[in-house]
Amino acid sequence: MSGNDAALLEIEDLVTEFGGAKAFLGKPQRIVRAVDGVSLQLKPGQALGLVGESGCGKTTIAKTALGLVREKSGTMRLDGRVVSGLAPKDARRARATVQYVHQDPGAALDPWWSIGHALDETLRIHGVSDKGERTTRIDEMLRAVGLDPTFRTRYPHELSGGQQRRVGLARILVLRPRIVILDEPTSGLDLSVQATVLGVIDELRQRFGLTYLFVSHDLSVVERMCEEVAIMYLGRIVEIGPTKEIFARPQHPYTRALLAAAPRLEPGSLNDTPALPGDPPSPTNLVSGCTFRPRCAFAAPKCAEARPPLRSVGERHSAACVRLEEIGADTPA
Amino acid sequence: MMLEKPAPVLEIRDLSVSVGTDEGEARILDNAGLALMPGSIHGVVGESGCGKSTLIRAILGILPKRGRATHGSIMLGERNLLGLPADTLQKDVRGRAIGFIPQDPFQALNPVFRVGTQLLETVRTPGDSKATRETKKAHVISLLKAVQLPDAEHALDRYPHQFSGGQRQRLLIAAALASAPGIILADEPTTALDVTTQLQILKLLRGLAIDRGLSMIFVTHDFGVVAQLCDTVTVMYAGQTVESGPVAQVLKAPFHPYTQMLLACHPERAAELAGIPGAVPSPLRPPQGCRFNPRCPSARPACSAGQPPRVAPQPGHAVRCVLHLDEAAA
Repeated sequence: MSGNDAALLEIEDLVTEFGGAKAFLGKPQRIVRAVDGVSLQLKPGQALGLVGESGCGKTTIAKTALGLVREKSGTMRLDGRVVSGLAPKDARRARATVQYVHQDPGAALDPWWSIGHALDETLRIHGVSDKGERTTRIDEMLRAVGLDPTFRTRYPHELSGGQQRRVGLARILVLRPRIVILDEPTSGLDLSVQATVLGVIDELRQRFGLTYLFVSHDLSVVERMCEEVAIMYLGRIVEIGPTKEIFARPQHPYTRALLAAAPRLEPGSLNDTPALPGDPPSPTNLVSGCTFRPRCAFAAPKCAEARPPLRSVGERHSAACVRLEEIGADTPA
Repeated sequence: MMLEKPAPVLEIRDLSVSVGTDEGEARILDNAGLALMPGSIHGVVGESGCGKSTLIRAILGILPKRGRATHGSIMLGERNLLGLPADTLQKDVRGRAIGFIPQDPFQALNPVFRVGTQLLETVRTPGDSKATRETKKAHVISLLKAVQLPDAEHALDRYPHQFSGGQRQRLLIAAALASAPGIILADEPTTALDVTTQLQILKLLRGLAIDRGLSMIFVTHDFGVVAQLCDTVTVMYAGQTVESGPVAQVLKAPFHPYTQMLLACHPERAAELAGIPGAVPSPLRPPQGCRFNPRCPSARPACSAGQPPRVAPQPGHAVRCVLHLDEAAA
C-alpha cells in the first residue's frame, strides 16, 4: 500500500470516444469525444465531486474508471499500478476494488429476486464460496446501511425509494471496495429521503474508510458531501479544486454561471442573475479552442486559438481559461 | 385576511378529491386551499405524492379516472369551476382562460408530426374562431418570438427532435399562451432541464408574467426554484395544504413543523443529514386530523381530533397547525 498522500486512483489525460464504427449498410457514425483529456486524482478517504450538466461526460468518466468503457488513450493508476490499456474483461478484474452504485438501484435490482438473494449472488460471483460467511456479511452490511436483516426476504417492489438506495449501497459495500463511484445517488429522491440517504453515505465513508467519486448535477449536494470538486463542460474539466474555495471564489466563467444558476434558498435572485445564452452545443460538432466560448460573456479572439490548459489559480485550485487575469475574480459571470 | 387586498383571480376552497381504487376510496386531497392573487406567481411545493399535481389538475377538470371532487369549490372570479359541465370547461376554461404548461417537454410533443401541425391544431386565436391558417400561423410565430425561440419563422416546419429540451419547453409555453389566458398553471416545467437552461426558462416565465399581466401557479418540489421565481407559496403534505405565505417569510421563518423539518433537510441548511423519521401515510388510510401528526415531534392529542383551522399568525402568512391556534384568528 502506498503512503497516505499518494493518490489511490490517478487518471491522466483520459480520452474516451464513442462511435466511429460503420453501421450496417450505413455511413460510419460520427465520433463523439465524450471525455477529452481529463486528469484527476483521488486520495484515500477523499470525496471528489464530479459536476456538470447532462452530456458533459461525467458518467462516462465513471464508467471508464470502472473499466466498463474502454479508454482511447490516457493512463489510469490504481494504488500506483497501471490498470489502463487492458481489454475490458481484464480491465474490470484489475479494477475490482473500484465499485459503482447505480443511479437508480430500483431499476438495477431484479424484481423476481429477494434482496438477500441479490446480495448473495453478488458475493458468490466475487468468489465468496462459504455460505455462512456470505450470510454474516450480508446481515452486517444491511445493518450498516440502516436496514433490518429481515429485509433479506423482501422484494424490491416492497421497498421505498430510500430503502432501494440503501440496498444499492449494501450490494456494493459487501464486496469491500476501496473506491465507490456514486452516480447521481440522490436523483429522483424527495428532500426528506435524500437527507437520510446522504447521511448514510457519509456515515459509511467514515466507518469503512471509503473513497468516493461522487457524480452529481446537484450543486448543493456536492457542496455538502465533497471536499474537492471538478466542474466539467463538454468532456473537459474546466475547474477543479477544494469545494469551499470553488463555491466561494469560482474562477472559470462557466463555473460562475453554473453556480449562479443553481437554485438556492435565498429569495428573489432571479433578476440579478444573467442566464447563459443558448444551449450546450452537440459534442459531435465542437468549436476550436475553448468549447465554452460561443456562450461565454468574456469570449475573445484568443479563446479560439487553442484548447485552454488548466492553470493553477490557488492552492490545489486550477481553472482552464486563458482570460482569468483579465476578467478578474470579482466580475459577475 | 384579504380585506384590504384585491380579490384572488383563482381561489380553491376546502377542496377534497377522492379516487376509487381496488382497495377502497383514497382521499388524495383533503380540504386543500389556495388563493392566486392577480399578477403574482404562486408556488405549490411538496414531496412526491403530496397532491400538488392533483390540485392543479382539479382546476382544469382533468382528475384521474374514478376521481371526483367530494367537497369544496374552485372559484375563477365568480364562477365555480367544479359545477361546470365538461363542454363549458373545454370551451371557456382549458387553454382559454387558463393555460397549462406540462412537466415533460420530451413527452408532450408527438415526435412524428411537425411542430407547426401540432401547435396550429391546438391554437385558438383569441376573438376569432374562423381565423385563416395564415393568420393563425402569424399568431403562432409571434408567440414563438415572445418565448425567444431562435429562428422562430422556420420553427414550424421542424420536428420536435430537432429542438433541445429548453427549446421544446419554450414551444409548450408558447402553446399555453396561445389564447391569451390570464392564468397559467405550470406543473414542474423545469424538472427535466439542466440548471442553466432552467434559469433561462424561469427568467422567461417571470418576464412573460410581467409583460402580459399573467398570474401563475407553479408546481415544484424544489424550494430553491420557489425562492428564485415565486412571490408566494403553498406547502403541501399528504393531500393537505399546511402552510402558505410570502416566499421570503415561509423560507425564513416557517410556522408548520413539516415545513420546518423539510427545510432542515435541505443540504444548504441541514445541521446533520437525518431526514424526517417515518414515511408519508397512504391516502387509503390517512391519519385522523393533521396528516403529519404521526411524524411530528410536537404532536399532541388535539392534532388527531380534526384538521386544525387555518390561522394567520402574520398577515398573509397562514398555517394549519394546533401549535399556532392561539396566535391569531383566521
